[in-house]
Amino acid sequence: MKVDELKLELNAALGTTQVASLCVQLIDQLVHLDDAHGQMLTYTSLQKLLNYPEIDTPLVSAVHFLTSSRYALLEAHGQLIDDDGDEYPLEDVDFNEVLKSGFLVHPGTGEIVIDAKDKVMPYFALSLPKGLEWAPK
Amino acid sequence: MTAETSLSQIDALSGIMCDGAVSAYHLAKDHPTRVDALERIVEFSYNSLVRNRHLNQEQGEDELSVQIVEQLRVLAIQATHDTQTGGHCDVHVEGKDHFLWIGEAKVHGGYQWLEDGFQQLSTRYATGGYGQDHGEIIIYCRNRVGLDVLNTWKERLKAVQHGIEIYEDKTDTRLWFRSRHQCENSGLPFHIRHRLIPLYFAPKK
Repeated sequence: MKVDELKLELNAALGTTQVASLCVQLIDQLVHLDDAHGQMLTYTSLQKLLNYPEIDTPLVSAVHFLTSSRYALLEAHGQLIDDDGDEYPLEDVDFNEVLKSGFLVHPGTGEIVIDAKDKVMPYFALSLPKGLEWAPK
Repeated sequence: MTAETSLSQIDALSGIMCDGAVSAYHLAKDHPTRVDALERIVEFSYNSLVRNRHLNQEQGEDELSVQIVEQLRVLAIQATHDTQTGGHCDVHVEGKDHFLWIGEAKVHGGYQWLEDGFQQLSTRYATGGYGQDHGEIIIYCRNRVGLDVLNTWKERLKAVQHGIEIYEDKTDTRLWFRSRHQCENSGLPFHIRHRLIPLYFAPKK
């Protein structure tokens, strides 16, 4: 599948909506990223990539659609930034548990993280579907 | 405080009414987490139908199901109504990594009708394949005492469906139970949550 075909299918799935438009704009920007720059994408970096004014509901929805739908190009991950400012990438099973219940054991100290959802930052890596013709420029 | 966006902030932007389930659905790392989140999200849709039951008494399966689908779509979930999947299913949710969840809806008008819905979901739509092993029977019930309807349905299901197992029962508190049976197509287990939506409305004053 070519990227243009993907965008057409995506538009058909979402209809004429702001979220669809943002998804297409995101794809247009993501296509320029090489592997090195596509591994640690945050909501903020995606916002900047679009030169979009703020992280709002339509932008989050577009990022999420590109993460969870049949047209997903992004793979979500989680990172704990603890009270000392230290960063810990989370194992998938731990990230899932935070998503489900808000429960997290600190990967470094083994202690329960209070208000874990305030300290876990989702981020994304490009994860292209097989067969998608994707050529970073 | 970091400059990056926390999960709490994303929860607030992506459907705070759903108590974090919307983020969980989209960011889930596996299908069980995705199904768990989706079941939590549709509960909010069902609750909306129950709250507004005085307004939806004349609506049929399609009209009620479309409301659920539209609420899911607003949350950026890839949901459709009446999608062709071996037949026309009522609530069709698909996603990455072959994810497929199907809700088969019936307005309760008799237990044979519910059995038809179960058979449609089980033998027409379900594959039991990877990421496609969960579905839902949505029972729109305008009878009095929906609990009795669900209990009767559960007993009937056990009587008519050979090999079915009821493995979680929240009938008395949440108006749902879960069954598991072998999918005829693949031979793999298929899990169905049977959820009754109580829409009886007959105010006495």
